[in-house]
Amino acid sequence: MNVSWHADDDLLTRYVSGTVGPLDGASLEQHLTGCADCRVRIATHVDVAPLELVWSRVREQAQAPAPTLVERLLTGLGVSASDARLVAVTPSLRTSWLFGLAATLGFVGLGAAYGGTRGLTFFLLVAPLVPVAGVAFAYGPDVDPLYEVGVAVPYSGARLLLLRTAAVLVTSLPLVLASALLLPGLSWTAVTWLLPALSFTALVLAASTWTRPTFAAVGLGIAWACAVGAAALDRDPYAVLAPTALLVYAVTGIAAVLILRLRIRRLTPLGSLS
Amino acid sequence: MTAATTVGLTGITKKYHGTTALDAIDLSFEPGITGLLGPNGAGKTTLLRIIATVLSPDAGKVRLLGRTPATPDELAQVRRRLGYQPQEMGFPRAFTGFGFVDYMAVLKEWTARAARHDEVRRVLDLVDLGDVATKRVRNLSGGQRRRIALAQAMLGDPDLMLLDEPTTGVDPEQRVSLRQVLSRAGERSTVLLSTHQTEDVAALCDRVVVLDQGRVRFDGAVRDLVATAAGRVWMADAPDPAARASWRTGTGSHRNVGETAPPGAELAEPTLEDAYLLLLGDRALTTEVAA
Amino acid sequence: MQTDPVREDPELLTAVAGGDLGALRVLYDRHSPWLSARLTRRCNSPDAVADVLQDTFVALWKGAERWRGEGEVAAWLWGIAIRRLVSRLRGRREVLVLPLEEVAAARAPEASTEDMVLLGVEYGDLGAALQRLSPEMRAVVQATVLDGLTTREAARLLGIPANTAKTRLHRAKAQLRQNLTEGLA
Repeated sequence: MNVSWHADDDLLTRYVSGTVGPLDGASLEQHLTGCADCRVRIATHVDVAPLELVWSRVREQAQAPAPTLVERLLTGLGVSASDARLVAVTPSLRTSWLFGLAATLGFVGLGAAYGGTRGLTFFLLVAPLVPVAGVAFAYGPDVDPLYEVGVAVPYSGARLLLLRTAAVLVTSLPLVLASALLLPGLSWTAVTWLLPALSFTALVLAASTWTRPTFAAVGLGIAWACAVGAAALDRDPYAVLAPTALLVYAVTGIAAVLILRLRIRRLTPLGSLS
Repeated sequence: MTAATTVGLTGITKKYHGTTALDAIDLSFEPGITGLLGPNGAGKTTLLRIIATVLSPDAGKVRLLGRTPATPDELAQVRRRLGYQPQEMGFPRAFTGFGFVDYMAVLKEWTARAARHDEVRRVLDLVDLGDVATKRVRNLSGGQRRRIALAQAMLGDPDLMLLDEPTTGVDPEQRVSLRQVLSRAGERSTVLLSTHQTEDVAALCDRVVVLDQGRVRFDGAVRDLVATAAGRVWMADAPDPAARASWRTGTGSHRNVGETAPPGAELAEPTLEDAYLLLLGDRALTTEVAA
Repeated sequence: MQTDPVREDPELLTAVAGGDLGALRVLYDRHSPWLSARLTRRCNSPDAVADVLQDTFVALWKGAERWRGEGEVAAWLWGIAIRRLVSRLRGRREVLVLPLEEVAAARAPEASTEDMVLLGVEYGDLGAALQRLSPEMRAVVQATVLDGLTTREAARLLGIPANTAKTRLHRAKAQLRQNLTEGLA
């Protein structure tokens, strides 16, 4: 827009104070849309204090990280905003992880429904290890890029670990339950897997006071795979969920919880860094 | 160890897979800025981690801010007054610079949102990243990420700041402004910075501790260390094979550092770097030598 | 303090799209004064103006990459602002385009009520100037020049083809400019 005139101070003053005539005002407005110099000049006639206030609000909206879906769900459930922030970053709570988990469990469930003994064995192998994997990917130097700097802070590492574990259990156990419903017939197997699942979770937590959660999880996974494999070779996959076995899981789980309670109070930071 | 000591280390030992990272270290630190120099593998990072309560020593006692933290409560109390910048830091994906420092502030118990955001802005302004902190961390340069890591260490104006290579990768302009920030912090707090840039130590620190192979090789004033090189640095037209170290400078002549100057050579004013090279000999040459 | 080279608006918008808050600040300092003055001429509630200003720049922050690179950034910003203001009034269409016969009668009350007054200026003089235009040109001018709608939006409003609106507006502006220089002389 080619203008051959610029606004003088008098016009700007009248415009800002509201006393300018409608024609002059309308033309000035058109002019301002195209003239950077006059925009600069009108700024000297406008009160800056309210503009600064608005800027601080704009800046806050631009800078403040928007709460993620997980955060909003957690705060909706009554978790404090700070705790929700710290939990929402967990790798094993990301949508990508949960989708992958759901897909895997879908396959496992179908395998259990139509795959006969082999499918069932696979289900028994996977189901209790799901929360274990979730915990292994919730905390520790291998999966948390902020692990090291996160130890040197006053926020309790134990609290963080427990909060994240709770969130992992709440998200992953229902998914496993859903796939368990695909098991043939209605048997206790659809829920008894919960006992080793919870027991193993407690074991990984307790072990992570000595070593990294990932090591503990892998060790436990291998041990469980051996147990399930041995039972399958014996033509009795349900053996891993026999009453004696369930008793063993319950006892180990309780022991693990006690150990965790004891060691959480010790000086050693959770998980070793070396 | 006086009452004013912020950090008191006695007999600190740490071993990794058979090698000794720290060997019965005795050190104490007061308010002010101390530089930690040493070649790679000297134990600087291990020492900082132990003081930051991230690692426990195999033997020895650590006294921090007037207490020997034994229980989680005591640890939390110490950690409230501590800021730590690790040597390497990963960032969660999709975090902005502001979001990351804000997250660290949450970990440091800043629960009130408005106050927390003001504090985050304050430390980001200190490292001159106020404008770009809204970018994703993955879109920031290496030097900018280092400054973000430094910013979080300064949250809450801690009494004890442990910085592992704070200026690595930072461009020279920014390094100068960071020195000013650190210098001001050192007026009230105890700042320990580990670096292999001798000019940072020379510009910033009153005291320097040189570590090598897990042992303290020097602990004292910077000028005392520089003084040990007096008379042992000279300029010549050609490199002297008998010198401990020698390199060609920008002007074309050669700077030689060694025991005796050959006749006719011009004695030069020693720098901290010269003294460091003399102290550690060949071991120092395995690190980058700043030209 | 370093003197940075003066960056033009399009360059600043690109920076904002990349997450540069400093660039947003520069844009804010450049445009908030006149935007706030122009909004105030249409709405005499300072709180509403502040809210609209805030919404406009937050929208700019979030949507900087949507700018197509045509025309002035200032005009684009005004477009966002006026639409935000209009939506705050819950889009009462009859207020947007007053039939000219009612313009003289629609004198804005001095005191503000709980409803904000969109066109709080006297139209006596402007009415006289607009009278000299043909009714079709008048309507387009009112919708575009006064209320900041695009020719397309104005065309939709008036039920005419977009090109027709454009031509009428062009001719009307030329005539108005003529009136303006006559008025200032």
